[in-house]
Amino acid sequence: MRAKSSTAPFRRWGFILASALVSIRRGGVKNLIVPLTSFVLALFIGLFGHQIATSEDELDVLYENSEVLAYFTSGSGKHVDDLIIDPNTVNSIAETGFVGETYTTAIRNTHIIGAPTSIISIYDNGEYLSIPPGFAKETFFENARRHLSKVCFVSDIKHAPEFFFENALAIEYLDGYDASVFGRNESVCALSEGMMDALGYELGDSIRLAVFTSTLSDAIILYKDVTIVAQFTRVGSSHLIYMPAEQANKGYILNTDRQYSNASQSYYDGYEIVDGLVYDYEYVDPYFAYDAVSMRLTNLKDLAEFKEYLIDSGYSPIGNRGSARKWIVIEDTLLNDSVMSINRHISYMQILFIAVYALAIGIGFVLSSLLTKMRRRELALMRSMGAGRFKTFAAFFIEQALLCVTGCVMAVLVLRIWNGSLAPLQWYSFIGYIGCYWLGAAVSVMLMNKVNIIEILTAGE
Amino acid sequence: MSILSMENVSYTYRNRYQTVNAVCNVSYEFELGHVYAVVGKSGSGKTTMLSMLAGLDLPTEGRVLFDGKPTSTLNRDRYRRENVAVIYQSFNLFPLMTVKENVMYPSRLRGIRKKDALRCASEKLELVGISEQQSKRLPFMLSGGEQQRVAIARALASESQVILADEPTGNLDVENTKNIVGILSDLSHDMGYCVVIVTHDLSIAERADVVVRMVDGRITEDQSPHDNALLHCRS
Repeated sequence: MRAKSSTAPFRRWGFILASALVSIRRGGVKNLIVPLTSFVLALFIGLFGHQIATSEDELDVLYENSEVLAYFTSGSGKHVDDLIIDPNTVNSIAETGFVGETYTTAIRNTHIIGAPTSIISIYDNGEYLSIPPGFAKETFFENARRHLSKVCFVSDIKHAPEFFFENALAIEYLDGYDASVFGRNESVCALSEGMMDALGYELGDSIRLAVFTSTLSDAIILYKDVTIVAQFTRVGSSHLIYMPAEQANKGYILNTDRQYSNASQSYYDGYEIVDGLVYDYEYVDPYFAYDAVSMRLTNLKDLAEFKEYLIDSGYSPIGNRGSARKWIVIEDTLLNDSVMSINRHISYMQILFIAVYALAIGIGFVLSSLLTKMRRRELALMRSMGAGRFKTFAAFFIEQALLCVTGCVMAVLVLRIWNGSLAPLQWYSFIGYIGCYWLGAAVSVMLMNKVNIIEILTAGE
Repeated sequence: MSILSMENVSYTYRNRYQTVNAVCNVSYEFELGHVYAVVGKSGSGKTTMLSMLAGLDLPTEGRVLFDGKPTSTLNRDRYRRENVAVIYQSFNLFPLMTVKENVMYPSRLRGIRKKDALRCASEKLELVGISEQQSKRLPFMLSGGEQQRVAIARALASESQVILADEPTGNLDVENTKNIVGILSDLSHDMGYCVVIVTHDLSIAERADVVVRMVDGRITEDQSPHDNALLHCRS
């Protein structure tokens, strides 16, 4: 009858488990207290878990749906335009992965020289556009300056400085066009309603834009024909003509004040003025400064990381002056407030979690102590019959563990019926609760396992 | 050759007020096929000695040897599981297990298959006169005598060669006492068990092969069965 087979240890453990099940089955009503308590506490834990999961979902939705803009500004934070922003700077920020879209604005002086039909003949003659006959050179420039308008190259008109602080932009598009036209490379423009009225233009008309320089001995005028596809209600003080940013790369118009100094020089790749003639190579190196840049940020969860990047790159908070002397405003106040509010809610729930977990440890200890105390004699008897300390621990602990799990399973079923499905966090919460209860129960059974066998077995004799 | 022996065994413990020498320098040998009755007054060290023999405690001095090996060097859980079985005055059956499950317990603890353990339990219960019907009941449904017989069956199921009984008849009436002692005596003489009974009851001592008398932690007399009458007279 001696157990010599290699499966004997497994049978011994199987027997321990079976004994625990028998004890649960025959333990009577008193055993119900553990599953009932576990049921109630697990239900609470499940609800807290649900609350936290919901809040975390809200947080995710908030991060996903929130629009946070960052924009370059002056050191005082008051101006968002008339800045000189190096495109390389903008590119390096865009490469961080925190920028979804970049909205650039480049403003250049231009002069409307009339509808194409009115000057087409001049161009068709093959002559370079020069001071119109009958004008003295000085008179021409004076006149031009007086009527100077500006072209504003934008990737999204909504983000142009003029409308930056406007909630809604009143803009009317020509049939077949919408705001996306500014994201394409088309020779189109938008004029203010006032300018349209004053010049007598209508949507669909073409105008010829020209730039010139006064630094040359002879006026050099570069020109471009564009179609008016939109008109807007003016907000700013200057007459701006909006064109798609991509058009800036065409080189006709941008090559003015800031870079243009000497006609004998080569200016950019793609630009060359030789003997007073402009050679347009279509492609222009986009190395020119922006007047305003704003960015729609993504990856909002890691916004702090983006801020760290900016600080490391020498950007400064408004009012301070950093090494780079560049200032970027991140409009995340609303997002931060909302995130803080949700996080506060989550924190409360987490505190409750900790409280319930601590309670679970305590209850596990107390209930197990009460239930095993009544069975100290059984435990001592097992030990006296040669059951090792670990086996007696296992026998009683398994019993308590199973009772606790039973209560948890009931709570899971109730919550599943109620909620339909359980979030991963809720499952982790249950596991956490079970772990805590088991911890309390384990300590209790371990203490009980140190009983004086002889004292108990001979007590009452 | 002795199966169980004590060599200069002492057991000392300290309570709140003093150091107590429960067992003092005791040497003794127990052999298979004999019934030993350990008699003495309360506090004479009988139960302490039994605890050391049962491997529930270790002597503070000296050593207890099982089959020539010191119990201090053996795995004591295994020793209790396989080498000695203890019967208590208050039966100490598992209240939530049926009679048969109680008797199966030592076998299952040793990793014996349920089927074999069940057959073994049935045999042992039959040996002590517990019916199949009674074996399906919970212990509290049986009388004291029956419960003690179940305890004996459980001791037998452990397949140990040594049965130690601590006042096994203390809670029983005369008739049941007689039966239990008869069973233990038969086990020893017919099946070769070494049975050590700690008792106050001199009627048990009368039926023992050897009577060991303890006074103040010391064995004062070791009497053969022929001297039992003398013991009885002197007590």
